[in-house]
Amino acid sequence: MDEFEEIYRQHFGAVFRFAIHCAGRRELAEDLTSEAFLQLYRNWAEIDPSQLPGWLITVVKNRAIDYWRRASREESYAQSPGVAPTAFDMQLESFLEDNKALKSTHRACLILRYVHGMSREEIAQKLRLTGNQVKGYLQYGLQLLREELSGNPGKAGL
Amino acid sequence: MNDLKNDIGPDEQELLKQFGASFQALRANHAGCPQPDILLASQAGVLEGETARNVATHLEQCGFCRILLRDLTDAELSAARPDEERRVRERVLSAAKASAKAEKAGGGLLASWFWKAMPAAALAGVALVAVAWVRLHQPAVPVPTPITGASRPALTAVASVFQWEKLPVKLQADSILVWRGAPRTDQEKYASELTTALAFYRDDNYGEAAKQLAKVAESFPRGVEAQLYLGISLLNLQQNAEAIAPLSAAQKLGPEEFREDTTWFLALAYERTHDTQQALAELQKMCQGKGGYAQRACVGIQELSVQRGNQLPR
Repeated sequence: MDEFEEIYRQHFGAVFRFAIHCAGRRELAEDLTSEAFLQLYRNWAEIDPSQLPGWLITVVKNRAIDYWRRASREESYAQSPGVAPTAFDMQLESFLEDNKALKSTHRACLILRYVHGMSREEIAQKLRLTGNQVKGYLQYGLQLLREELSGNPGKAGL
Repeated sequence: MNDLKNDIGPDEQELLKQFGASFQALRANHAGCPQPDILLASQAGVLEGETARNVATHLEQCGFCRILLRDLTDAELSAARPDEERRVRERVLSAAKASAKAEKAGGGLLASWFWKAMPAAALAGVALVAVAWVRLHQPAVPVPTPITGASRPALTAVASVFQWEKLPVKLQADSILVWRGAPRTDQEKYASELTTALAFYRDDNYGEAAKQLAKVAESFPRGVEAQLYLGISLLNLQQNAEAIAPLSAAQKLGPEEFREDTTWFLALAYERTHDTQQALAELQKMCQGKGGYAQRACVGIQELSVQRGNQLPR
């Protein structure tokens, strides 16, 4: 069934990316993506392939809504930071926003580390990176951060 | 930063020595930031109600969360890794295997796709499909235990659980089929008419939604979505007694993915029509189960029992 395989290859990437956005957790994104393609093949005869990947995306979204509805009933989520940002907060935020040498992965590692307080292992799991990759990204980010903080000792009241 | 005590590398020690207090204050200020998965779900539009509003408000106020969200959706971080692609493929293959068996091998398109692929992968996928199914259909939280007298919350401090709450539109895959041109088959006609009717529901026009959905339900009595959303619309219109029939029909039609929703709204309809016995019976089904409504159902039982002045059901 070459056509189905072709459709799978063609749309897997987009559907998986959307599933990650919906689920946040990569293992759950795998579940959602699998579910969508399983639904696709069950309904294969009746679906116009030219309308894909919209149909797959809709399946992912419906499943994700269901998942979060269950999850959010049991947990409450923060409403706001609660405290006004400090000068240090603002300096760090500007550094992350403006430093062109930082890639998205560096920034994500730094925020997960210092804002969310995650361990390196937790960051590796969250971003599906190896421990060494996280270590490397953090080292690079910290080097730039150190330069930023040291280069502006008076700034932001530090 | 207490969290990092056992995880600090030499590269961080110097920085933390100098700026430790600032980092600690940063962490404390943002202790209430939503987890990254919640941020992503918020952006994807799959959160609902108060949760969605809370996270949206937080994002307006928190620059770190905005940056993190943008970076997490970056192509580099959200692209599938080869092992992830392989696992998903194996799951689909395992389903193809089941299909191949059902069609006595050789009939369907998927069967041929399956037989061209690795048999070992297909076998491994069987277990993975089971895991996926369980993850998607089980609540993400521990099974709530029925509320006992000892753990009973103060009823005066909380709003009643029996409040109408809009159920977002969700459809079975069969009901969102894409078709070319005018709908021809019954399934296509159902999907077409349902889509039109649900547009009113989405727009909170429950009067028109109820009218349209009643027509769809009459033409397609086995359409679970039409019955369910008709019942919910009628509840919104306070036509509580009228809501019972379509909700009961939806419950009997019973696709698993709608079972909990139909049971909850049916319980709500019974509660509003003061049929406490029936309401309790529906709530018991959910309270003893593992679904997402379990905890709410247990609290509902408590509320009804207090109203009746009875002992809690065991």
